[in-house]
Amino acid sequence: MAGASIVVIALIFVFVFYKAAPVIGASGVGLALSGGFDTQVSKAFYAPAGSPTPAFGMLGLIAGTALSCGISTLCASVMGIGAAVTVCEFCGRRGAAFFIAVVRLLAAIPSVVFGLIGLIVVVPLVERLFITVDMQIEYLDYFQMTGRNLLSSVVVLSFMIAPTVVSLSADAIAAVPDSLRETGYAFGMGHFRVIWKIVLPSARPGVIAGVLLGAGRGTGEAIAVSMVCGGIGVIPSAGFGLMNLLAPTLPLSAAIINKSEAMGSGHVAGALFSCAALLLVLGALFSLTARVVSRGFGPGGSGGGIKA
Amino acid sequence: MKGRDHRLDSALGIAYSWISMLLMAAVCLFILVTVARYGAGKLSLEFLITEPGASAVDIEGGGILTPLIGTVLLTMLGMLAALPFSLATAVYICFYARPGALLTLVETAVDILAGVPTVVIALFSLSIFVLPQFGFLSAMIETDGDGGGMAYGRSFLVCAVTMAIMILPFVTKSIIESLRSVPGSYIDGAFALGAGKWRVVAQIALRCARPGIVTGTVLGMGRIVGDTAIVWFALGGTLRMTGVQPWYMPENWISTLRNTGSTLTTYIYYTSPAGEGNSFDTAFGASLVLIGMIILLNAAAALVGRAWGGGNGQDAG
Amino acid sequence: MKLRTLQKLPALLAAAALALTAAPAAYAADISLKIDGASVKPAIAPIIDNGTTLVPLRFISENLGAEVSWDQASSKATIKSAGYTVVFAIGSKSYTVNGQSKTLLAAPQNVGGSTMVPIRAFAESIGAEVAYSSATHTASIDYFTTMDGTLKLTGSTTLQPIAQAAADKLAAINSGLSISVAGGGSGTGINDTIAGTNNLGMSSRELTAEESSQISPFAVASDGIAIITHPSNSVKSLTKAQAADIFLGKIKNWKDVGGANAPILVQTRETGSGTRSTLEEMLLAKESVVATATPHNSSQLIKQAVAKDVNAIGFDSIGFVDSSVSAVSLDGVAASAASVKSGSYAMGRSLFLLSKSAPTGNAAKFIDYLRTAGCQKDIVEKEGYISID
Repeated sequence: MAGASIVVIALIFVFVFYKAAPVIGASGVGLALSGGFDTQVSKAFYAPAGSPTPAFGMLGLIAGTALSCGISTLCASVMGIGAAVTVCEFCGRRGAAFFIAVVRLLAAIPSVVFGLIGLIVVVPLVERLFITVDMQIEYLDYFQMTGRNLLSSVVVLSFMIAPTVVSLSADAIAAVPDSLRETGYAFGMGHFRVIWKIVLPSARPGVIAGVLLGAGRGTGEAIAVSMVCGGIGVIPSAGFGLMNLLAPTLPLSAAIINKSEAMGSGHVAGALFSCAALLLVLGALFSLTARVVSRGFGPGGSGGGIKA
Repeated sequence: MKGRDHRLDSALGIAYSWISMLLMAAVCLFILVTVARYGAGKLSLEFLITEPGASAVDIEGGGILTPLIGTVLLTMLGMLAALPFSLATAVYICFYARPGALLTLVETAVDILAGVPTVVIALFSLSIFVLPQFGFLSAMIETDGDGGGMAYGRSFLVCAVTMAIMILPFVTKSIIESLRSVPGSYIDGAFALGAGKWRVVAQIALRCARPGIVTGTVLGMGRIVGDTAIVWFALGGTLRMTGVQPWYMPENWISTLRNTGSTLTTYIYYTSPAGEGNSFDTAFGASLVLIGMIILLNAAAALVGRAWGGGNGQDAG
Repeated sequence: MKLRTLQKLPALLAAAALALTAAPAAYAADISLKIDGASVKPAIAPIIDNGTTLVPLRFISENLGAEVSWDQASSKATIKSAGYTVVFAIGSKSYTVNGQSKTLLAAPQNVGGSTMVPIRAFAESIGAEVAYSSATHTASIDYFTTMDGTLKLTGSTTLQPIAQAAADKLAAINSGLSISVAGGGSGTGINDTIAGTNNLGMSSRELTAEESSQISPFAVASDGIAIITHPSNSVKSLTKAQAADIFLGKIKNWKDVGGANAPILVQTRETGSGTRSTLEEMLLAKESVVATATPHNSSQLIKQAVAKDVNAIGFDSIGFVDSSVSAVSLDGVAASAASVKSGSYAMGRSLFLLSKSAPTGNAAKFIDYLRTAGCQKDIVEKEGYISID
């Protein structure tokens, strides 16, 4: 029975890649290097049955995953490490217990509720704060500027990822021996300086593992993002500058949800399984890297942490 | 000069840490308040014990009986399916495996499985459970003509198995951790008294690790309760129970399990503006119930953990 | 309905002639009629002729979801249900079921403008059960209450609520019946039907030639697709060409179609949506909506997007249009149930159930049930779609 995980993970790889194979074969490297996914899905959907597998280009989706996940992991890390420091160092036993409960609650809020709040609160707010009619006219040829965009996805994702970072970082910080801290104090360092120069570096493997697992969660998150991302895999362009944040986006995971209605077409299904294959590889990379990093830290570090 | 800089650094650092924590707490509070504010109006016994309306037009009038039961049912079934495998894997890794390729393989598989996004697991389930060999989990398609012979591939049972796959690594890891935190002296002591290996594992290690096992179980249940993507693909997304009616009669239970239904999460998706139902306050009403369930689940776990106490294990962090 | 009254005219004349020449059949005014357990009262009461009970054909058919067409020249009535085609001829004792000839005990006749047919022969020929209680003088037809086993539907999310409502009603009157209605979109419905992974598919778009060579569609409701804008948008009507150019991204500013100088923000549905497929087929000559259009997952979401943005344009089923958005007229024709029924509106469509082989059993009855007058009124029209007739 202990081999169940091996069997299951093997089956997942086999089935996902088997279903994705025709599309990956037809697209070659263009799958990762070219764009136009939305139009290709439309075309493939109307293609008569029995037609040859068309090529798909997922650059927009990959960029969407990288940007939405990258930026929100960055925000979540900054926020999460600060929060972990507060929990472990600044707020006493009761305060820590309270804040840990808050973090657990935030981690336990289902993604569909995040999506709901995002759709009803974040999207209108982003639209009102950042978008004007003039901007909409200016960018109309490239994309439609609405509240459902990269920025909204980042806001929602950040708060979904942060609890993971807090949990693992707090575990790691708490595990730093007090003797190290005392050395710092003995050298006349202030409290925060000790944290910054001694505690956090010692806790680094756990913190990095938290960030990686957070990034993994961000990559795979589908429902909440699909509700606020805008649904088009726009390829970011240097020329748009910060406006890239206000462009709609479509990360790989959200694409699977959004385009699932078109899955009746075998080619579209193949394309979505290709998205899944990419996500599978990405997810495996994140968790393996997190494992390698935290192994360096000691046997206790590889677990789920306080995120119960 | 340098000393002042340090004080400034320190003040900024502390401010940054507190702002981070308070921002997260504020967002958490904001979500709870928003859900409660919009959802509270819907909350009533009737809302809990009425079946959902058949369609978008009368969704307002309906309640959440079947999604609620769907959530409970899936949580139980998924956990039942995952727990034996998780326990076996954890015990194997902690007590039976010798360091070597096989142990690394098992551990690596658990880690990779933990990193597979739920939406990928959902697609996987859609591809494998339509195979006729798995027809007993859902239903075989009855058609007169050719082209039949595939399974429907969406049902409570299919979804429960898929959920079990999703939570397997998390429950396993959590049990491993609590087994590892059982003081070695207990185990050595038991061996010294001449107890066999299996006796030591079953009577000492597993018993001492009970609070951690409960925590791990709840962790997994929480994931099932909160998941949407797998339910969306593997349970079929119908609002009602679609087995032989009435679905609540014992003789129809098997049929209910082999057919489609919904959970609170898919119900929220359906009733949110993103779904066809679009009933704002119904979505928030269901969200309120869902979050209430999750809080209760965690509180219960904390109580059980405390009652079996012993202090070893999960709350050490 | 109008059509029906016209069809009755020759029947009326025939009945008048019959009344003058032939001896009137024996009337049994106190025969009551039950369909699926509910007492019903046709405008023309059942009669007994030669020991056989005759009932008004159109009334019974409507209640069993069958469609009646009348051929004046041969005075033949053709009744089509999902599974059966029955042909009666006035005054003739022979009739056909799915092309096979059979014989009646009493010939169909015209009474007061209605074609009366022998109840047992008709009901049994389409698969219903008939019982007559001489104690209460009650003839009962059981058709939709004799279902058991399973039925699986997948496909169009547009049709899903309609099918679910019908499934609920059927489940309530049949113990042991299990109907599962899952979504997935029209494409899923069509492909599942072709692959045989469902019993009935649901589609909100027409089948392609290739698809229809493999499966058969059964219309159960009609719908029109309205082009919707914000209520305070000054553009209230467009030509078909203008509308097409907007959705193809060729016209980008409202001032080009007589509105304010503002961007046109095109809203669309996700690929796979039957509503989108229909728009692309009927308005855009099978081209895709402009790639920058914001895609939405549901008819609610696209409506909300239009309702909150004065510069947005989208499309939705006529049934979903409410005061939060306004429907523009196309080539001067307003989008309404009436203009769709009359065929003058450019974007009318039918909603179909799909079957791989000729439907039998539960599948046939499900289609028939949705086509009954009762379901058309209580489900189809209530859900905001347009009834078929």
